[in-house]
Amino acid sequence: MMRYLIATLPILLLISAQAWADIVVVVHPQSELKNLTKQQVIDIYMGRLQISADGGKIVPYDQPQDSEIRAAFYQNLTEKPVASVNAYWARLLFTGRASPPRQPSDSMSIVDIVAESLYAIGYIDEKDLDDRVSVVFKAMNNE
Amino acid sequence: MNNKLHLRVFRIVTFGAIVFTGAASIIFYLYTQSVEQKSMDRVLDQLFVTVQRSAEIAAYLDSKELAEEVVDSLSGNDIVLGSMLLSKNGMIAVSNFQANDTGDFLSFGLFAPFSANEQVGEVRIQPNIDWLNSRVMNSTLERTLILIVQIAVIAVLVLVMALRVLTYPIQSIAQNLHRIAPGDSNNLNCPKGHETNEIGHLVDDINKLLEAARTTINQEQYLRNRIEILEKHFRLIFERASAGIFLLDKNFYLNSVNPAFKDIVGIALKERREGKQSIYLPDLFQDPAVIEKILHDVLETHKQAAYDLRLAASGDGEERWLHCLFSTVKNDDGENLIEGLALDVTARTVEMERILFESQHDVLTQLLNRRAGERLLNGMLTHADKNLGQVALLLIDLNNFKFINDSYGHDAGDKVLIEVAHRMKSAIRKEDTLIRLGGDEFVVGFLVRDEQSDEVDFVVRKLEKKLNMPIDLGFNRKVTISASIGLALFPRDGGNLEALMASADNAMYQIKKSRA
Repeated sequence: MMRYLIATLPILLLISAQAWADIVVVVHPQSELKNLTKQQVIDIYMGRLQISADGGKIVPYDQPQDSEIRAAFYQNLTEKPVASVNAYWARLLFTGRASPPRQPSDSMSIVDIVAESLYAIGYIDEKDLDDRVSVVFKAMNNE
Repeated sequence: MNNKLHLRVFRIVTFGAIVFTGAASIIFYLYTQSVEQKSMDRVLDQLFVTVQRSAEIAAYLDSKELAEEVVDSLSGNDIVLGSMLLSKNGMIAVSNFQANDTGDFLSFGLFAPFSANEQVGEVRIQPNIDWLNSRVMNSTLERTLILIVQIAVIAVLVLVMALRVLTYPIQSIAQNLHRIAPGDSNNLNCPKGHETNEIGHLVDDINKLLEAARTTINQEQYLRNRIEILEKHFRLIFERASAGIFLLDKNFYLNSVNPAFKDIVGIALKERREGKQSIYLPDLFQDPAVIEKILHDVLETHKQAAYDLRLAASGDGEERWLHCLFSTVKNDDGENLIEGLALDVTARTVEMERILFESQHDVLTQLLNRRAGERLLNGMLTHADKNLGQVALLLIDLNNFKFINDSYGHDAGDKVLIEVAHRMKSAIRKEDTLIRLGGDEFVVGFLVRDEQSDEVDFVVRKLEKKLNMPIDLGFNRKVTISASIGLALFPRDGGNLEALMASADNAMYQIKKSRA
């Protein structure tokens, strides 16, 4: 974690104050998914990893299309602009092979969905976290 | 085989073009192949880039549909023979890929779209080598064809230009030159349009050469004509000259003579020529030693010499004289020779001798006349004076000559005088002097050898005796005459001829007076 901090230090100094704190990936407390790696998070959100260890179909939930948190999440995760993620999904749409994660209206809706579904997964601002969900991955706030 | 110039040029150009075309085609084939190979590699790279994103997603998501779409689109290109896409998880999509172990394919790695470090698969593309080769071959053939056409056009152009620019002008020059004979006045014409180039220079030079040859030939002809004329003149001079001309070698043998010389020397030359290769000039003359001396002098002094020389007696015994002119000449080898000119002066010499004789002698008796005789006597006195000798002078006068003349006529008188002269001549020595002073008066003069003897008396008595003998006048007529002889002795009776004569005349007068 420290190492990661040091690595992002130059970016932290450059980017001005953000409106959000750390971003956390959350699941249902009884979910099979515990402590995901960054790669696992990417694979889930890019449609590669769809089936969990117990055979359930993992359903990822995304933040609204133009939200700042979404941009920050993918930037943090893939180190590429969110536009490339949008292009990725646009390309896949033609094949019909996979579809992008659903986008509820806000963080509260995501927390509600994840709290009620065993295989749902979402990401939220850490300040919106409550006891109904458990954190499996934490993306560091750039601030 | 036709060996005309323009065809030769054409052949050389064509042969060079064929060799060049072959070499150029090979080089061009190799070059095109390498260029096309590089170009193909680049195009394949670019092709991969166009499908890279889709291929990566297909491998990332193990999407066979997407993968097949990718390989199909790749195989749709001419330069691609076949292609395949492999994912890391074992998904394979193949399109027309020829499975073999030769590795004749290009391999491109596929990486996860959002994590560049993770390879998720591989794309293999087999290039269409046959297509490439046929493209290279076609391109080469096309270029070669164009080259051949260009070269053919150039070769024909070269042929035409060689004909126009080289062959025709040279042909026309050669034909013109062929018609020109050495020395005639024709010049070559320069073919039109070539006045300032090499052909023009060639024509100019040939014309200069012709001009020079013409001048030389004309000069030589002129000189030859002149020499011929001169030769004719010289031959005429030499052969028709009235003077004999001859050339001697340094040993005085005759080298060459002209006809006149043969005529002049005549039989003498013919006689000496028999059995001899060459004639020794001095042999031709009366006194060879004198001639030899003259010739030696001429050779040594290089001075001209002119002499009247008497030829050796020929068969008829006639006396012949040549006037000879000798001088030296150098021949081509620098040797000194003697050239000579000979004129027959026999007639002149004889005439001159006759005149001289007549001027000194009495016509009737052939004795010395008074003037010549007195010169002789004076010489005798001078000689005796020097040697302290004596000279006897006898003055002889016929006593009854006037009577014979009057009685028998002048002819008889002349006969008597001739007979008297003859008798007196026989009474004295050869070296003594006998003179007819005139009329019937004679003088005998001689050197006294022995003053003690009666030599003088003896001569006087001998004369008297001879003169007293009868003289036959012919027709049985005989006359007898006598002579009165007056004696004077030098130097006893006079110191000079005049005094001696006077003394002798006086002595004779005394004798005549005593006789009467």
